[in-house]
Amino acid sequence: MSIQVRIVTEALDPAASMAELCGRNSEAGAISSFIGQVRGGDGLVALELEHYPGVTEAALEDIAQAAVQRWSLTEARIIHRVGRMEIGEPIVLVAATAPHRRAVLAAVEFMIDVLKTQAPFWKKEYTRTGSRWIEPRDEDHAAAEGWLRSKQDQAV
Amino acid sequence: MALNIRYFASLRDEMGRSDDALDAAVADQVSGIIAHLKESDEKGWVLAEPFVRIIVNGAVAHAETPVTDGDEIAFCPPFSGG
Repeated sequence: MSIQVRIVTEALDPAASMAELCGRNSEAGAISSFIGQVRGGDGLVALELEHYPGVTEAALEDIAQAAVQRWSLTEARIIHRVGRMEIGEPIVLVAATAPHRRAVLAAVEFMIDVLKTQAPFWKKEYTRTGSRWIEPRDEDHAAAEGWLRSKQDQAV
Repeated sequence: MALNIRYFASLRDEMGRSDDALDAAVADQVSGIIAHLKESDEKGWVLAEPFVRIIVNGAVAHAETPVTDGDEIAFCPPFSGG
């Protein structure tokens, strides 16, 4: 079992990260990943991500650790970029490996859903006319709360 | 030593600065810091908004969380990662 959490300021290379994950653990029959990238449209020019150094990394480690324990993963990985990004550039890579597929598919969904509203990141959109901070959507909160609530049910 | 206050993202923009160092005698819990900043800064009211998340020394905190000399108290708008 291993966890890797990183905040990076340079361009993310999801393909290289996934290539490194594939084939290195003989017990892992399943590998899953999620990549979030900057979405264009509505006059968007760039996105800027801010974090709380030290505190954000600790929050991501807690999320990865929770996923490893809940789904008995062999590996959980979260790499999140901060700083200014252009349209189409990757923002985040979440990946999991485990003996079987259901564990990794659920674990990746859990990690990205919880990360969006429970780890201290803030997003600012730059458009041709100005900039604004992005508020999380109601459905983002609902997704995270769904996982956290089902964890409580599981404990009962 | 002091109470080290940090403002992130939109709250930093609202307050017009990223941090403050307050005399530790100002407050013994988070609510006292908020009361002090509401009193001393015309923008301080924003820290009392219900959406504000508070982190003390890296841990999620609330109005009644105790604070002492050397603590770092962060005021954060809602998180929006990924």
